Amino acid sequence: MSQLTRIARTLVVDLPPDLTDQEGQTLIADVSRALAEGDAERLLLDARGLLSADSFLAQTLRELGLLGELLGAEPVLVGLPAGAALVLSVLDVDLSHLKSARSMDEAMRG
Amino acid sequence: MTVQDLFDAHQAKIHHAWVDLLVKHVDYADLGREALLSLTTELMDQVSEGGVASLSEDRLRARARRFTRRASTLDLGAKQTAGLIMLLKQPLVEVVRAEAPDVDMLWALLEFVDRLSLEVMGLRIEQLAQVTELQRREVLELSTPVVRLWEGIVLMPLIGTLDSERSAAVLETLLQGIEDADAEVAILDISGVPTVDAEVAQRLLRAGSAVRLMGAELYISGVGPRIAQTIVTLGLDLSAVRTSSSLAKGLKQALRRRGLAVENS
Repeated sequence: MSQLTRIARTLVVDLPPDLTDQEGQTLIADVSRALAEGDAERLLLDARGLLSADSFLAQTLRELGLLGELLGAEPVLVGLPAGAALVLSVLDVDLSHLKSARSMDEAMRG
Repeated sequence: MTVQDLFDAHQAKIHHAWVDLLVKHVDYADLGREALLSLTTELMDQVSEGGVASLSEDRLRARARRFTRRASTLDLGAKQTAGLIMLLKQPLVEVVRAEAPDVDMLWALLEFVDRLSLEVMGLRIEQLAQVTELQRREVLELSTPVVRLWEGIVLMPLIGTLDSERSAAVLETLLQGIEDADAEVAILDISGVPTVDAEVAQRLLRAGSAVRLMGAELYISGVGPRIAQTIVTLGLDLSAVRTSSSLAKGLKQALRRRGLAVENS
């Protein structure tokens, strides 16, 4: 299960190693509710736990990023491991709207 | 008298005649009598222990494997390794002629030599193919090192032709190197790459987006005029990478990105 955490004006999404279709849908619903109802200005997608990636994950990341932009929270992908980055780069999914950071520390400092 | 009896009774004589032949042979003379004696002794002993004609496939193979391993330490090629055993035929024929002129017995001995030499040749070829494959991988790895230039800056210098297999290996090594060094900037220096085709150019630029997703930046330095023209002609998207014409410029950019600068002292 993925978890949402709010720290100051930041919403942190903890991405699980293997996201199922169902979890992905739930996650998108939860994030959109949290962003619409809260006052988060930044949306951190914590990818440190990802072992690999597939097109479903890529699509989920893309949608989470678009949701953030739409609801006024800057989306940042955090700590994506090399293996997952390799897969994402060959998939034909546009993730250029996501900012990125190497660590939570870097992401929080902005 | 069986084949085995004949062989055992004249083992020393056969062995000596064999080594005499080898010492005179152009392929083996350089090895010297001593090395040839020790190489052949084990095989002769094994044959006298284990039966000549009634040898199972497994035991023949085990014997061939041991012999091949020893032959490989002497740097013998596949043909030479098998040929060495085939030279055993002449002393065997001589012993049969002198002691027991029997066609069946001769056939059994010659067949044994054939089976053994064929097996040895196959094993040696296999061994050589493995060596080649190992070397190929080693070269592939050696040609894609990731070096730490500065805190937060890694460099991967590429030299030689980039085909799609190598560029895939390059990307994988680069991303892993960035993760291991927790780098903020990676410089991919292609000064030593004469030219790239459309697919490889695309792959290099795509590497930029992979690096960006990890929270780092990719600088491609040493972009020569020919590669620059390829990129322009193909109208490739350069938004995920920064490029420069020399490693010096790339390093300067990378240092600036980290808030550093080099001063004359």
